Amino acid sequence: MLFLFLLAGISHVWVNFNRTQIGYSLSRTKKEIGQIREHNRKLKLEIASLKSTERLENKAGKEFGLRYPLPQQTVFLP
Amino acid sequence: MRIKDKRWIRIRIYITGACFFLAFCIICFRAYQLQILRGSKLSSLAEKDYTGKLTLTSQRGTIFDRNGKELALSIEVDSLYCYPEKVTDKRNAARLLARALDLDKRDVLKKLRSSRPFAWIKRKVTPEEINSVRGLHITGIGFTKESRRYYPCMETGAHVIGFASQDNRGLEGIELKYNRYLEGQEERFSRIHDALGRPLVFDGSRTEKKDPFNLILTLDKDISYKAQKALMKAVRRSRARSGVCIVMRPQTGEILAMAVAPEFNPNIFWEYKPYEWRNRAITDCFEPGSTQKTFLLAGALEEGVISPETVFDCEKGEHAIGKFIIHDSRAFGMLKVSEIIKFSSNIGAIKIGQRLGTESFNYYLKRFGFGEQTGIDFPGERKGILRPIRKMSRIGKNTLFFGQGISVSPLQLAMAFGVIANGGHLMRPYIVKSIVDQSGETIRNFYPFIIRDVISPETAKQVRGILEGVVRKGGTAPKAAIKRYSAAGKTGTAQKVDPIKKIYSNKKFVAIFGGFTPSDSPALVILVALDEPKGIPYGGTVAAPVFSDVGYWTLNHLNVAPSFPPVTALSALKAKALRAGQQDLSHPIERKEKIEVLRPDFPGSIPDLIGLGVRDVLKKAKQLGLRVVINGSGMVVKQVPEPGTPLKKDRLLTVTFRPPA
Repeated sequence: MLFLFLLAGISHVWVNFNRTQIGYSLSRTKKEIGQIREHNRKLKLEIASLKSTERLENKAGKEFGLRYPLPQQTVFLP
Repeated sequence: MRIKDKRWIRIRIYITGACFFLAFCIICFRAYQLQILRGSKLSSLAEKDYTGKLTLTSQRGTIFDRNGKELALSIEVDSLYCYPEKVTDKRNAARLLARALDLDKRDVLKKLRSSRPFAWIKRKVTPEEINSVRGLHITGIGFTKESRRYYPCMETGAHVIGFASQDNRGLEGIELKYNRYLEGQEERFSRIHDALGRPLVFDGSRTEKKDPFNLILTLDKDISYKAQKALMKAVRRSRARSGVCIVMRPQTGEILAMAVAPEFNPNIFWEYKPYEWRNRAITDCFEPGSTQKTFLLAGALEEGVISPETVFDCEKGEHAIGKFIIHDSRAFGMLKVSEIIKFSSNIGAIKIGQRLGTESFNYYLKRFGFGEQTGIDFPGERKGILRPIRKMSRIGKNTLFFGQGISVSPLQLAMAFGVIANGGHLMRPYIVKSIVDQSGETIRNFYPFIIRDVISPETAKQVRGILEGVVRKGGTAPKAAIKRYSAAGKTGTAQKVDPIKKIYSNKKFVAIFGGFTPSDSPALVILVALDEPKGIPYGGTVAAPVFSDVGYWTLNHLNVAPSFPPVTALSALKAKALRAGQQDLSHPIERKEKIEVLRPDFPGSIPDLIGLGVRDVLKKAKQLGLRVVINGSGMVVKQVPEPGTPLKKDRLLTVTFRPPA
C-alpha cells in the first residue's frame, strides 16, 4: 500500500515536472515563432526599401553607368 | 516521587496543553482570517506574482501595388517609457537619456518629474537608440513593443496611400478609407511564470482575434515613381505652386499612378504641413480651359451638328459678344473643326458651341461626369461646379464653350478623356483592386464599372483622330508627342480668378494637358495639370512634356507595342516626315488588340464570362458559389443565364466553350 502511494506520488511529481518543462519549451517556441515572423517582416521591409525604384535607378545610373534605352534601341517582339 | 511533584507535572502538562490549544486556536483564527476573510484579496495578490498578461500589439495590414510590391507595411519596434516614481536621480537620468535619444533635456526631465505613474519618453525608437539606452542602466526605465508603419517607396504614391497615426489608425488616403479592413486588434494573453519571470504556460487569447486584411491596389509602383519624378521636374522647372499627374487605364478606370506636388514622405508625415498631404487630384478643382473643347467637339459630333470638315469663320481673332470681345491667340480666318481644335481657337469653339446649343452642351458636360463625384474609393472627393444654364449670363454661356465658368477636378477631367479613349464609356475610377486575408485568400474584388455610355464609339474615334492633330507639328502640343507611339490630347491654359479683384488674372494660370496613347488603341490616359507656372504658362509648353515623358516610359514598362517602326529603318524622307508629325507616311504597325471595355460584375448577379477560359470560369464560379455545367472546350461563347441576371437559388450556370478559330 505504502509502495503504491509512493509510486503515485513520484508519478505525480514526474508528470508535473514534465508539464513544467513542456510549458517552458512551448513558451520558448512561441517566442521564437514571434521573433522569426517579426524578423521576416523586417526583412520584407528591407527588401522593399532596397528594391525601391529610386534606389535602383540611382544605383544603375551612378554605379554601373546604365541608362534607359533610346526609342531606336528598343525592339518590340510580337 | 511525591504526590505533590506528580500534581505539579500534571499542572505543567495541562498548561502546555492549554498553550498548544491556544496556539492552535490562534492558527485557526489566523487561517480563517487569511483564507476566509481576506482570501480572495490575498489569492489575487498571489496570482499576480505568478501570472502575467502579455499584450501583442496589433499589426496593420499590408498595402501592395498591382504587382505585389509592398507600399505600406508594419513592423514591431521598441518604445521607451518610464515609471517616474522609480527614477532616483532624475536630473542625471534626463541628461543621459536626452543625449542618447537626441531629445531636449528639459522635456525628458519634465516627463521624469511627472506626477503620473507612467510616461512615454520616446515612442518607436531605433535599434541604435535602444542599445545606447540599455547601456545606461537607469532604473525605472523600460521598453515595450509597438507596431510602426513603414512606407518603403517614400514619396511615391504617398498622396494615394496616405498614412497611419502612431496608434495605428488611418489618417489620410487609402489608410483612412480602408481603415476598418487594415486595422488589426490587440491580442491579450494571460500566462503563468516562475519565480524568475520565465513564462511557463499561455492561457490562450482573451480577446477575439481579428486579423487585419491586406489591400492590393491598382497603382503600379514603378509608374507612380516615374509620374512623380516627371511631375516634380516640371514643377521645379516652371516654379509652379503645385501639380498633378494621373495615369489611368481607360478601359477599366484603374488608376495606375496619381502623382501630386508638393510631395511628402509619409514615414515622417508630421514634418510636413497638412496642405502638402492633400491629394490634389481629387480635392482640388480648377477651370478646365481649352481642354473643354474636347467635350464640346464630342457633343457636337455626336449630335451631328458638325463634321470634322465643317468650316467656321474665326473672324481674324476678334469676336464680339455684347460689350465683350473674345480673342484668339492668333488671328485665324476660316478654319475646319479639326483645325479649331488643333490650334485651340476660342472663337471657333464658340461657333461650334452656338451650333450645338448651350443646353445641349450642358447636357453633355453632365454626361461626361462634370458636376458630380466620380465615385472613386477615396475620401474627400469634390464634385466641382457646373452651374445651371438659367443662372448664366450671355457671356458666361459662350465662355463655357472654352472652359470658363466651370470647375472640375483633375480626376474628373482624366475620366472624361477616358470616355474619348475607350469608345464612349464613362468609367468609375478605382484604386483598390482587391482585399485579401493574411493567407492570401481574396475577400473582396473590385471590378471595372461603366457609369454610363456618353458618346458612340464612332464619335469617340472621330474625336481621337482630331486630337491627334494637337500633338503634331503646328498643333498646340507637339511636345506631347511620344517617340514611336501615336498620341492624342488637348492642351488647356486656364486663367485663374483673382480672389481680391474677382476677375480673371493675367498672371495666374493652370496649365493642363490631357490625352491618351497610343491613340489608335489607347492603353493609357494621362492628365497633367500645373498650378500657377511661372514664365510661359501654356499647357503645351509645361504640361505636355510630362505627358510625353511619362507616356513613353509607361508604354515601355507595360510592353505596349509601338505604333511605328524604329526611325532607323525608315528612309530619310520618311524619317523627315515622321519628325514633321505626318503619321500617315510612317506605315503604322497593325495593332491586333482592340479596345475591350469590361462590363461590371454587379454584386448578386451572373458575371460576364464570354471570352474566358475554363479555369477562369471555374474560379469565378467558385467565388460566387455557382454550380457550372461545361459544354465543349476553349473559350466561352455562350452562357445561360445571361450576364447581369440576378443569382437564383439553384445557382446553376451552363457555359458553352468553343476552341478559338
